[in-house]
Amino acid sequence: MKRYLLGFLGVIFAATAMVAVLSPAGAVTATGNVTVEWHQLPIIHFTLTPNYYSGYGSVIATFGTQPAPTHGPGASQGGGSVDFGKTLAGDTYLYKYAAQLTVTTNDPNGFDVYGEAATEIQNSSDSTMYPTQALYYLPSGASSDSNTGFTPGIPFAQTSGVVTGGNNVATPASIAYVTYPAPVAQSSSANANFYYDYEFKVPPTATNGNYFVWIVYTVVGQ
Amino acid sequence: MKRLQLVMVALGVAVLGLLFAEPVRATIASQQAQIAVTVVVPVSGTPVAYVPHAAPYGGQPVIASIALRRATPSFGRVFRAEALQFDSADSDVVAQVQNPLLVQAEVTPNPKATILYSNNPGYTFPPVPPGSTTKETCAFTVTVDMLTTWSLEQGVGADFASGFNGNDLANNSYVSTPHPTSTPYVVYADDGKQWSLLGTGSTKTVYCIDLTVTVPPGVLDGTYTTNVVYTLFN
Repeated sequence: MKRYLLGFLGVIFAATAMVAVLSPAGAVTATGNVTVEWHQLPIIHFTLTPNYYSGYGSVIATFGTQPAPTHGPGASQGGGSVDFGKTLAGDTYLYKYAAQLTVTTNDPNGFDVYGEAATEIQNSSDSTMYPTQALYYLPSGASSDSNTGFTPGIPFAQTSGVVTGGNNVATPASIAYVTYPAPVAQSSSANANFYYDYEFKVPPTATNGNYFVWIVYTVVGQ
Repeated sequence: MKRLQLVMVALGVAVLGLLFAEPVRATIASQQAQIAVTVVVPVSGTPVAYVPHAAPYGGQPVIASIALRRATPSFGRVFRAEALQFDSADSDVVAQVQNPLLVQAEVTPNPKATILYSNNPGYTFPPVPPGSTTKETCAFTVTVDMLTTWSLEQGVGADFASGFNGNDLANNSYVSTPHPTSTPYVVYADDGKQWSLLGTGSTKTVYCIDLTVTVPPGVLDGTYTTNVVYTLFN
C-alpha cells in the first residue's frame, strides 16, 4: 500500500513539474505598460524633368538684348540632359528651364531637397577635371524666365557622400549619405514644385572636348 | 605778324585736338572681355524665438526650434507588433528618393579667355550674422594679360536682395599694397548702368581683391548672391 501511495505522490509531483514547464510564460510573468515610440516613414514621389518648358536652352551672358536659346543634341523638351551645346572657354552661359523638381509626399512636415555634383566636371575627351564651382543653379519660373547669364546663382558642391556610377555619360550616379549636406531647397508643405536654371562658367583654361557631370537630387521627408 | 597768327592757329588746333582726343579715345575703346565672379553670402544667426508649426504638445514653453523631424500624433491607438527590431539610439531611418541629371557641354578653347580671368569663378563667405561685417583678404584675384593699353572697370550686377544692397559689398583691389580703406562697389542695375574704373595699364597685371560685406540687421537667414563683373577695354 505504501508503495502505491509513494507511486501516486510521484505521479502528482511529476504532473506538477510538467505543468510548470509547459505553462505559457505569460501566465507566470508580471504585466506592465510599455511605451513604444516609432518613426513612420513617409511616402515620397519625386519627378525630375529636364528642359521642362519650351524655350529651354543656353544663352551666353550678356547685358541688354538676350540671344535666342540653343542647346546641344542631348537635350529634348521634357527629357534628355541639360546640354549647353557649343561653348567657349572663359565665357559664361545661362541654361534656361533646366530642371523641374516635382515632389509629392504624405509628410505633413514637408521635405528637404539636396542637390550635389557626383564628381568634378570631367572632360571625357582628355580626362581633365574641373571644380564643380563652375556650375551654378538659380531659381527660374514655370513658364517665364527673366534670368540672364549675369543673374547670380549658387555653385553646386561636389558631394562628400559615397558615389556609385557617374564616371561617364551612360552611367547615372547615385549618392549614399551618412550625413546630409545643406539643402538646396526646403518645403514645409507636403507637395511642391521647384524650377531651376543652370549657369556654366567655362574655365578659361578649359581644353577642347565634351564635358559632363551628374547632378544628383535627393528628397528626404522631414 | 602772319607768322604769329599761324603759330596761334596751330596752338588752337592743338588745344582742340587735346580736348577732343579723350572723348574720341573713349568712344573708340572697345570691350575686349567681360567676366563675372559670383559672391555668395550665407546669412545665419537670426534669433528664432518661436516657431508655431514646431510647438510640442503639453504646453511647454518653446525657446527655440528650427525644424521638426516627425509629427506628433494627435490621437491615441493601441498597436500590436511582433519581431520588433530596435535601432541604436544614434541611428535614424529616413525616407529618401534620388534622381540624377546629366549636364553636358562641348567646350572649345578661346584665345581671348586668358586676357581677363579670375582664379576662382566664385567666392563664398563663411556664415555672416545679420548686422555684422566680415572681411576676407584676397578673396579672389583678377588678372589682365594684355600688352596693349587697357582699362578695367568693375561693379556688381544687382543687389543681393531687397534690403540687402549690392553696395553693402566693398572691395579693396590692389596689385601689391592694400589701400587704406575699402570702396563699395557700384551697382550696375541701380547706378545708371555704369561701371567704375579699377585701373589702367599696358602690362600683365594681377589684382588681389579683398572683400568686405556688411549684412544689414533686418536681413533674414538664407543664402544671398551677386555677381562682381569686370569688363576689359582697350
